[in-house]
Amino acid sequence: MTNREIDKEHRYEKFIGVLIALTTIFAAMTTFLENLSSNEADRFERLAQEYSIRATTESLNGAIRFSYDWQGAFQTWRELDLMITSAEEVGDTARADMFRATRDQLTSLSPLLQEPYFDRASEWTSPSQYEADLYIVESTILWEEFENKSSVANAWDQIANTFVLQLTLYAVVLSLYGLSTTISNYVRWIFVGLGALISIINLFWGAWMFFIPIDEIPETAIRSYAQGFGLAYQGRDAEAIQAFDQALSENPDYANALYNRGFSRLNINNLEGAAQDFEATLAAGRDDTTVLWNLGWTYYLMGRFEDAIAINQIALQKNPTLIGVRTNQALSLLSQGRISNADAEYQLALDEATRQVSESRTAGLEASSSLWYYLDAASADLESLVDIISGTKAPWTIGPDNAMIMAERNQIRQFAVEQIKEIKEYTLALEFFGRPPEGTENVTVSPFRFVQEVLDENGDFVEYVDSVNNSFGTKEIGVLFDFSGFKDGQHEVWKIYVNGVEDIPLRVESDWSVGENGSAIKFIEYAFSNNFVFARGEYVVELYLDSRLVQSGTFYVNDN
Amino acid sequence: MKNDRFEVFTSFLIAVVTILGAITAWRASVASIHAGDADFDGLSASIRSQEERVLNSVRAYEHLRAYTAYFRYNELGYAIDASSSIHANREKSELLDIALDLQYLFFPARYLNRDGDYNLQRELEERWALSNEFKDLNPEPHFNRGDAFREKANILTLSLIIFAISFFFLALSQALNNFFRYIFAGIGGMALLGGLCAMLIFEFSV
Repeated sequence: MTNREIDKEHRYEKFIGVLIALTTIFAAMTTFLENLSSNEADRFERLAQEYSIRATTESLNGAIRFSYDWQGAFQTWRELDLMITSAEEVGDTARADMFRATRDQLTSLSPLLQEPYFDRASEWTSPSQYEADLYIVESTILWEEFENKSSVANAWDQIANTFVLQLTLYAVVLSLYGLSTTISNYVRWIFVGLGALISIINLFWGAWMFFIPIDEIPETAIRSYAQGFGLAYQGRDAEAIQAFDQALSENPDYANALYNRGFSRLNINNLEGAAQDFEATLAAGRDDTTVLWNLGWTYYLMGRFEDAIAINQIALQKNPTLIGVRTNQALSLLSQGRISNADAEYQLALDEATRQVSESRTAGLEASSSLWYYLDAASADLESLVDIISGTKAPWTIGPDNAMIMAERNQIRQFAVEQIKEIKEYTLALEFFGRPPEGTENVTVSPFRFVQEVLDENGDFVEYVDSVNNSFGTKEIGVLFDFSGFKDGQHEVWKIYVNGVEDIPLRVESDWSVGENGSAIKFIEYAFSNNFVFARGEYVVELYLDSRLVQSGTFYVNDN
Repeated sequence: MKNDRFEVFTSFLIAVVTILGAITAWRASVASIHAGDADFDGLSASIRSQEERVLNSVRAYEHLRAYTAYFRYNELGYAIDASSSIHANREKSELLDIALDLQYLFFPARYLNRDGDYNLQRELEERWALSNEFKDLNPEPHFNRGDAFREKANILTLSLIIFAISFFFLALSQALNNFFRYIFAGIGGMALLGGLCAMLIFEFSV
C-alpha cells in the first residue's frame, strides 16, 4: 500500500468516525424519545387503571346505596301505601291514618322519597333519575376516562414501539459503517450509502412522529356525554340528544357519543338520524356487534332491507351466536319475500338457542336471561309485521312502513303466523325443559270464550256471559273452552300478554288434571284484591300443553 | 482478488446478520410491549368481571329480600280464612295486594319456581351469562396472550444469541487467512440460517 493509499484510507476512517459519532447522537436522541414515550404510555396506563378502579367503586357503592333506597325505603313506603288504600277502600279511616303517619315518617330515610325524585301528585318516584344522579353519570365519566386514558396509552405505546424500531435501525447503520472499513473497494460506499439513507429516513420519520396527534377526548366532552347518558337512562331522549350534541361539538369523532345519540334518535323514531349516527360510529372506529345490530335494525325499520341484511351479515360473521341479530336477519329476508331464506335463518336462530341452553345446562349453569327476551322479541316482531301487512297496527307495533313491503303479503303473513307459533313453543320448551318441543299436539281445544260469572242475589252462580270487551275495573275474566285428547299430568302453562308484553306474574304453570275430554274454565284474576284491576289494553291468553301452543284468544279492557 | 471477494462476501453476511439481529431485537421488544398490553387488558377484564359479579349479587339479593317480604305477605294472606269475618277478608286482601305489588315491582316473577320458591341461582347465572354477552369479563385469554407474547420475546432474544454466534464466526473467518476461514464462514452461515429459521418460526407462531 502506497503512502497515498494509506493517507486515503486514513481519511476514510476519519470520515466514518464522524458518521458513527453523528449516528450515535441520533440514536441517543431516539433513546430519549423512546424513553419519554414509554414513560407516557406507562403513566396513562396507570391513570386508566386508577379510573377503572374508581369507576368500579363508584358503581358498586351507588348500586348498594340504591338497593337500600329502592328495596328498603321505597318498598316499605309502598307496602304502607297499599295498606292505606286498602283501609280507605273499606272506609276504615282510622287505620288508614295510622298507616299514613308511619308511611310519611319514612320519607326522611331516603332521597328517593323526597323531591325532586318523588312526585307528590302521582305519589310515584323516579328511580332512574335518582340512579343517574347518584352514580350513573359519575361512573360513566370515570369509565369514559378509563377508555380515554387507555387509548392514549396505546397511542404512546405505538410511538415508543416506532422509536424502538428506529433504534434497531441505527444499530444496523452503525454496523454498516463499521463493516465498510473492512472492505477496501467500491463496495464500502454501498454500505456507507445504505447506512446514510437509513439514517436520513429515520430522522424524517422521527421528526414526523412529533406531528402525529394523540387523540384525547376533552374532559368537558366526556362530562357532556355522561350527562347525555344519564338523561337517556331516564328515557329523556330529546334532552340526551342535546347533551350528546354538545359532546360531539367538542369532539366530532367521539364514537360512544355518536352511538348513544343514534340510540336516543332511534327511541324518538328519528330513523334517518339514527342510521347516520350508527354509520358515523362505525366510521369512528367502534365496530362492535351492538352498533351493527342497531344499524341493521334501523335499516329494517326504514325499509332498507338489503342494507339491513348486509349489516346483519357482518354482525353475524363477528359473532354467530347472536340470536337477536339472526332473527332480525330473518325478518328482513321475510320482508323481502325471501321466505325460504327467512325460514333457514329462523331455524338457525332456534338451533342456536337450543345449543346455548343445552350447553349451559350441561355445564350446570343457566343460559343468559337475554335469550328469553330475544325469543319473545322475535315473535313480537313477527306479530308486528303481520299487523302492518294486515293494516291492524297497534300502538306497540314496530316495523317498516307497509308501503316498503313489496313482496307477496299473504305468503309473508302465512309464514309469519306459523313461525310465531314455532318460536313461542321453542321458547317455552327451552325455558322449562331445556330442549326443543317434542311430538305434535294431538289435542283439540275449542276457541276460547271469555266470560264473566252472573250470580244471583245469594251469590250463587247462574250463568256465564260473554265478555270479550270489558270495562276498566274488571278484576276477573274466565276462559271457557272445550277440550279433547288431553291426558292428566301433561305440562300446562297459561301465558297472558298485555299489549304485546307477557305479564309474568299472571303466568300459571301446573299439571293438567281435568281429564281427557270435556269443558273447563280458567280464571284470570286478581282474587281478593281491593286495589288491583286489569289495566286497559289488549289481553292475549295462550294455553300450552307439553310446550305446544294449543289455543289462544284475545279479550280487551277499555275505558267503558 | 479472491481474498477481496471473500471479505466482501463475509461482510455482506455480517451485515445481514446485523440487520436480522436488529429486526429480532425489535420484534422481541414489540412482543414485550404486547405482553404488557395484554396484561393490562386482562387486569381491566378482571376488574370489570369482579364489578359485574358484585353488581349482580347486589341486585339478585335485593330481589331475594323483596321475595322474602312477598313470601311473608303471600303465605299470611292465604292462611287467613276470608269467610270467617269482614275483618279477616279485609286483612287477606291487604296482604295479598302487597304480595302482588311486590311481585310486579320489586323482583322478577320469572324466577319463581312452581313450588313458590325463588330461584336465586338461576337469576345469578342468567345475569352472569347476560353480562358476558357484551362485556369482556374473562381475563384468562388476555393473560394467556400476555404469557404467549412474553414467551415469544424470550425465544426471540434467545435467537439473538444464535445471530451473535454467527457474527462471531463470520468475523473470525475475516480475521484468518487460511483454510479454516472457510469452515468458520460455513459455521457462521449455518448459524445465520438457523437463527433466521428460529426467528421466523417464533415470529409467526404467536
